[in-house]
Amino acid sequence: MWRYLGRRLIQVPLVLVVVSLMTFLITRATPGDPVQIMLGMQTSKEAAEAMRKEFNLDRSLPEQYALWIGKVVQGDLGRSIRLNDPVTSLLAERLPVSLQLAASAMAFALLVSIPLGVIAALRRNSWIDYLCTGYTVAGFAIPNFGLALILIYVFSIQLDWLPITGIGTAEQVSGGLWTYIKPFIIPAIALGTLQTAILTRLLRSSMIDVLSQDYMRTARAKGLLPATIIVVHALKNAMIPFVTMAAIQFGYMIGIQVTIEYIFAVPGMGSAVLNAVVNRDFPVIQGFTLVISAFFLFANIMADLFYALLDPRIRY
Amino acid sequence: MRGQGITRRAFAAGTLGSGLILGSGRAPAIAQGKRDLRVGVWGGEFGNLSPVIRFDIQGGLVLYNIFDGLVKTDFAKRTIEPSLALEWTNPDPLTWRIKLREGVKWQKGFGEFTAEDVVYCWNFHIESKSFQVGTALFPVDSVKADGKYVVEVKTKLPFGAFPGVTMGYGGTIISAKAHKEMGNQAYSATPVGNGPFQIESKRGTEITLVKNPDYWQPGLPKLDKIVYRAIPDSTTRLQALLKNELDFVTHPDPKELAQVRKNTNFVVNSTPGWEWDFQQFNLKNSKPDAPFRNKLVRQAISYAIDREAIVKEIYYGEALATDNQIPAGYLGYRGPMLKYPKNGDLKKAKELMAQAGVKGYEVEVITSDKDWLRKELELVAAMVSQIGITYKLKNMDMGGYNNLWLNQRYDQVLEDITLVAPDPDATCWWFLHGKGNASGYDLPLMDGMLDGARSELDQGKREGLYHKIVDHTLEECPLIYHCNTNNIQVFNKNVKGFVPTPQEYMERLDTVEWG
Repeated sequence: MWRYLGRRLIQVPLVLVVVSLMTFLITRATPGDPVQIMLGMQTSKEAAEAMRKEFNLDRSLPEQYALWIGKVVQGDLGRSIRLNDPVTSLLAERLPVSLQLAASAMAFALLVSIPLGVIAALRRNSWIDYLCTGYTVAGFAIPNFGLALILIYVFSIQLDWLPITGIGTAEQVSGGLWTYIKPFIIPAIALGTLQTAILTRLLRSSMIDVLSQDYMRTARAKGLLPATIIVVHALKNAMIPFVTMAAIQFGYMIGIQVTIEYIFAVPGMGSAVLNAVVNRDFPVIQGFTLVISAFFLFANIMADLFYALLDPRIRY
Repeated sequence: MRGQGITRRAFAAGTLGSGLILGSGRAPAIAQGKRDLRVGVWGGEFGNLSPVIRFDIQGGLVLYNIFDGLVKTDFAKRTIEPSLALEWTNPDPLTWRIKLREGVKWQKGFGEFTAEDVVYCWNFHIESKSFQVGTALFPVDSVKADGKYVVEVKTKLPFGAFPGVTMGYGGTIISAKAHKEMGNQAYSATPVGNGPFQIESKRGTEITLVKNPDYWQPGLPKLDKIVYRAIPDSTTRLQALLKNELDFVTHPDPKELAQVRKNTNFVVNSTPGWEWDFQQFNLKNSKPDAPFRNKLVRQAISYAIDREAIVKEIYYGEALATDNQIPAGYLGYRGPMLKYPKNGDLKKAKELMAQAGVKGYEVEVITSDKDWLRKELELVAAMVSQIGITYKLKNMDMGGYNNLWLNQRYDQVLEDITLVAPDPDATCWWFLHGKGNASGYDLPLMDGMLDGARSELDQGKREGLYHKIVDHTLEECPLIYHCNTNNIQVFNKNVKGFVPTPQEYMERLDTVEWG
């Protein structure tokens, strides 16, 4: 196990180097000059040259990459061309917000998918199962921005239960628990609904598979309570692929928040990357992509570890 | 409507029919005793807030409430008026002497605003080769203080736009002491200004300003606190206002305004702005036989454009049709429509095409990825197709667009732009002079006219010179202007005292209060 973990952790920097190189090359290959965008049309050649020099953009591509990666190794992700802030400061501001939103969405996905998946499996081919299937199909089909608009219309505008904006504001942070939580609810549902669909389908099929195993019949023959059979014997085993998928989806959600962040004015990583792409803010694009990739890799490693923890038969 | 059931029709009307989600809006907050304002502006981040580094529009909206300028513009009289500079004279064509107001204090105890601050600020721009070196400060040769309250500036050339461009756009001065102590980077995040409000905090996409207790104008500002929030989606921004999560928003989507105007709890303010929508031809680097190099073809296109239709269809009436480059409030302004009819003249356009001997042609027209410009380009393409011209439309993101536009690697563009400096030099020189970064035009006659108007110090004479430049532009059509889009604010009906301006960045909130 520890050897496996060590091996995976060694792979992480190698993967990140490849990701960083690809990101670097893609940003440089995309038409658009960050200096021109930053300085605008009414500027002088001297000003543009000074800024290019300041951000090493006057150097050759290998030099630019080497200088950047050299600093990254020392924990310096560079400075935003547009915002004039260190990328690490921007990350420190944006990453917690994105993590909280992803965690809220995942909490919603787990709260919905576990009971739905279990009930659908237990009542296989009943109207409840069909209802769950319908829900998951809708969850797959509806884009998160469309769902976001519907939720805003229903819960914010018509029912006036929840705010549209407020994540990351001073008012949210300085308020009580409910003030803190309520701006997350609609964005979390909009972001997490696809994951509820994925996880519900997975848990349903996994549960059906487990319920047909011999040891389930044995458990029933032993006279165990139905709840014990379902929770301890069936659900625990069915959760193995579920947990793996949930961990992967969590990493994935960090990277796909951008539309939700845009609609709900969430100051997270997605909107920062989007603005950076539009403005060709290379240091931000490179730094944030690197961190998002690291999260995805970390989520994958965690999934593998959970897998081993949940199933003692699995040994790495 | 709130709290009741949702009919399918209401749902469809809300989410699909109008493409947005507008509710009825809560009753406005109780105004009595309220002394803070929550403002929603566009954009993702505010970015830099220091005037010595280029700032975005949303940053400018905040910055201009932290700093006072040397001068201010009287938009009605079209004149540059004193602010921190009490008076200015030019004893000879290359010298400007600026007398500063006494008793103006920098925020947070950084001392008095003096001539040394102006000298430091302008020299910092020049030495750091900031964006202003190419814009407001390019004519400046040297700056020195003559005593505590007089600045003497030597220019490299006579510069008639000095009050509007150098003292106006370039006249937001930083505190020398604070800038030296804090460093350029920290100062850009939380600058120390001399305006009505000072920064209390900046977190993510939220900035809180509080009243500057040492502000030099008695009785101002009237608010104690402003919380700015950058909310990129215009529908979300407006909806947050209607739900009383905000008190004041900028840049709403014009198509949503008809519905908002029905709501008596809110005020819609719409002012024709210093922004153009325009078409531009590359007359420098396009193929020598390109049909649009013939001015009759360009005139035909201008006649084929129904500008009123653009205003109505694209901007839902929240724009002003114009055919020239000098908007209201500028020296040299004569009116929005000087030569070409508002609704176009297709007959005349066809005659000009026949006169030019051009039956029809195809040309690629680029625009940025702004939704309204894509639609506008489609509409304009339909208009010019009536005279046989086929526009091949190409949408690009802003980075890609700027790359082609500013490097003059295009045939034709359709774009919009915000004008920042309150002088016609800024609306003409950069777009029409052979050396202008955004110019696709290179004609010695025009260059001479532009240089002449720039170096003329008598503002009365300059006005006449700009009339000639505009007339020549209308005749030559290197650019075709469509309209000035409006600056729009929507706010709670109890918010009083807001003074709108055509300058998009300039939303001063010092006179605002709850009524």
